[in-house]
Amino acid sequence: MAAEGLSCVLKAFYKDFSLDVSFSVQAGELACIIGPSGCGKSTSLQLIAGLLPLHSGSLVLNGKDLSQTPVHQRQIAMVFQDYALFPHMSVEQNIAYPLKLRKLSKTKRAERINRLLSLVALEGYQKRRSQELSGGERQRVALARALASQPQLLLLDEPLSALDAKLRKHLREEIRRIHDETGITTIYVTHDQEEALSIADRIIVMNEGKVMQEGPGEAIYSNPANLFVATFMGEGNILPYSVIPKTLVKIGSFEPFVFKPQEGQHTIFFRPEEVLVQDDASLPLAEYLPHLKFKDAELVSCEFQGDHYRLTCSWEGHTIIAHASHRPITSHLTLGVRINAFREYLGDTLMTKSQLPMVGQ
Amino acid sequence: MRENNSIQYRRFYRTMPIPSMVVLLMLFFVPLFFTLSSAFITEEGFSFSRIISVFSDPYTQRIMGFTLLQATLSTLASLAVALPGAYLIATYSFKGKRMILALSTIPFVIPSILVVLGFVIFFGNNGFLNRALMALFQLEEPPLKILYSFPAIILAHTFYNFPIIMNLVSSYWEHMDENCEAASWTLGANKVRTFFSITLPRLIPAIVSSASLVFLFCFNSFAIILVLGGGPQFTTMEVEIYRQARMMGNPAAASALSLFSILITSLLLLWYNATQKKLGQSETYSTSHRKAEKRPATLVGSVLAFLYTIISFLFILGPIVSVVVRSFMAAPSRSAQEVFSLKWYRQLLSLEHATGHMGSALGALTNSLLIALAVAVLTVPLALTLSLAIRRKKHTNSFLELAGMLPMTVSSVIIGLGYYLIASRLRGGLALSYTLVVLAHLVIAIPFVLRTILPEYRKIPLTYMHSSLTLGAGPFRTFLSIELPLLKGAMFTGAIFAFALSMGEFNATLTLANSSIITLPVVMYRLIGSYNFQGACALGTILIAVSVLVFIVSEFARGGTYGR
Repeated sequence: MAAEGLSCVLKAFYKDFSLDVSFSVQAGELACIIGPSGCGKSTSLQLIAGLLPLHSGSLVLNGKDLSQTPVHQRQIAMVFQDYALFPHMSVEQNIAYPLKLRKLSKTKRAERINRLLSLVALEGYQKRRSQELSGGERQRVALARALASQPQLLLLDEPLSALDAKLRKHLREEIRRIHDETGITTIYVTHDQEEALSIADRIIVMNEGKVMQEGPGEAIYSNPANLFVATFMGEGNILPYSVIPKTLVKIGSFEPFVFKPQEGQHTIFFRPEEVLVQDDASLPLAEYLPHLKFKDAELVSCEFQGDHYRLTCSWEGHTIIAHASHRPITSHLTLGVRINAFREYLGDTLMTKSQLPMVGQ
Repeated sequence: MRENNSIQYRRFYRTMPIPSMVVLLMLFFVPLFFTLSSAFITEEGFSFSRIISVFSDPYTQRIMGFTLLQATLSTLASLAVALPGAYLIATYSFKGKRMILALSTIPFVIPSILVVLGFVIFFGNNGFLNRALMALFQLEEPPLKILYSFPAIILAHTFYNFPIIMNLVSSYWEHMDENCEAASWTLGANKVRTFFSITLPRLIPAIVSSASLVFLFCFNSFAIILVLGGGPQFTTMEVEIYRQARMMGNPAAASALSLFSILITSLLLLWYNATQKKLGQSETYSTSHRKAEKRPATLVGSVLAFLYTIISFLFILGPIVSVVVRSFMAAPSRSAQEVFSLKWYRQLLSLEHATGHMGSALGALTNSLLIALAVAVLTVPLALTLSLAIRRKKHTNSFLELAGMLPMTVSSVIIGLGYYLIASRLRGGLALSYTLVVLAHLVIAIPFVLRTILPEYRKIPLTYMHSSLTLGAGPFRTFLSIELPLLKGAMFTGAIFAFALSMGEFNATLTLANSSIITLPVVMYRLIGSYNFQGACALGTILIAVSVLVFIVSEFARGGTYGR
């Protein structure tokens, strides 16, 4: 077991929901817990903070078992979704609250408050009341207050969900900057996959009280462990395995590596940006490696997304979403997907090379 | 398995209210136990014989019938006066509308003995209304002779209660989504049709709920019936309980009668709670007021609005103003006209030799102030710690909340009876008697103070407390530095309410007090009984001042919370 950082096994059972997760966060890491609403991510956070009782399991932070420690002695700070700034206190008093509990002298307090406010870029806000602050400012004050308690672990519960899109982007950069400056171990809960991918060192995907996958953002996006993670962390196409023999194109005598079909629900998955779109039959498909070729796909709709076009195509009754850099000139398209761009799933689980014999063998 | 410490903060919230719960239950159940035991326990031991004999008596049955009859008629009369007002307030904007709404909260804070006095002074044979009418039409005789009769009871109840219905129905009406009416019009229904098939059915829950409350109040009405009813002819259960216990010297019969009262009151409260629940579910309450507030379109409408304003002003303010005015008037000699005088205040403050019951006025004032102070100081911490536990329950009808509201199931006369029975068992001096008065007031005040503090408590998001805990403060520290400061305003309002409630409390005090215990309302009652109305008015003016204070505080408290 790692001496530094958090490692926990959380088990709690409720009337219509039970939670059983285990994960670990390294010291100094920023980990995101992501999942749809009701997946248990906020419950996990409250279990770690000690606001909900742990029914069984363990919670070890920096080598110390905290599962029986009362909430106010855990040194785990939390920023709440609604920020929970105390309305009868000024910004200064809010931040001073944990400092007073630590019995810091008045001058030391003032100094710490100054430092924290400049860390969150709110210099000179000491005397403001929380009602006078904008949503973004409240969020920063809540963060400063949490940091003032010098926690061993910082928990952020959807800290940006109450803000508008533009401010969200700016503040998540700020949170990342503040994390890098303080080096504090942080768990960040969100339901926004873009937020998670951009901010986290590591992502923990949860669904229905279980951990679905855990790892760096890139790995989760390109190698989703199951179809839930695949579709939750961005858009994608799911097709039955039977399309492979129909569409596989070999280049020369080279035998492509494709897994053999297995019993059960064998499906393939690929992301829209991996789809190559050919809208002019006279030009070759810009592809020279083995790939799947979907001929005579019908263009159903084309949405302009700013930096690309999102095409919805229909091929032999299957819907394929593709991204294109320009608007297609015809509605009869040929689509191509390289064989290393798609993943195969048996039932719900990702198949790796070691698990399946290949067609070419 | 080891006791889980991680929920230690919850244990704090569970244990905090236990002492106050115990105190409340003691204060409530001990007197109730005395009441019920004396209803069931006769010389031969436990028996139903007393109950059976009391309830098979045609006299009792007549009283039960009359109690229900007067409550029904009073409720209907209040509805008849209130609904047009609710309509005007909800649909139109007119001058004086805000004033009507503000004034309509007065009956919530005014003590019933003051209503009685105001009613006598205003509607009496020698009252302001009769004198004005006599002067206006040059009459020899007072045209209105309604005092000490059945109509007087109904009229006083109406005056006292119609603003409650008007207030509740109009505010519900104002927050109703008016697009439903607009939709009905676009579907081809005319305005009258729309009103009867769309608006009225939607209003029914609010009307039923507020009418049930008024019915409950009229059912338990005591001072109004006692004074204005004018004798055994118009007696209700509450008055009969008091009469049997204190005038006929038959507390056992009074206890038996209380059973009926408790039963009906409990049923009414359960019914009222159900209507309140329904009220909460039946409409998607739009937070904004209706946008299309419009002036009365027709001349008739304007005149009606104007008339309604004038009449409700007259009815609500008239009696109160009359009390204040009369208190400053005295006749220099028996035959002379009344002129401005501070005579009654001088007598009240013992600056001048006081006659009759006025002699005990100063003592009553000090007693009332001291009792009210004690009640205010004791009630707030009890209610606060109770709401600490209650707020954590999501459902409003939790056991604790019901327990906190328990004293409402028993009328104040019956609470007084219980304490009277305790007092008659105990041997103690004046100090004990006053302690019992304070305890009785405490029981009566707690539900009201709870209702002031609890909603404010519920407004504090749990995350405030969670934040404080995660920042390293223990549960008690969190309570002191987060919850307590945030509830300061509500606690203050609650204290003022308790103070005013105790100052004006008449029913329980009269029922439990022996002749040596004097409070302001009791002396007022004796002054009214001995026809010294002006002296009563001077005392009444002090009560009015207290009520005005409560009124101002409660109006301020509405806007005084943190912008959340």
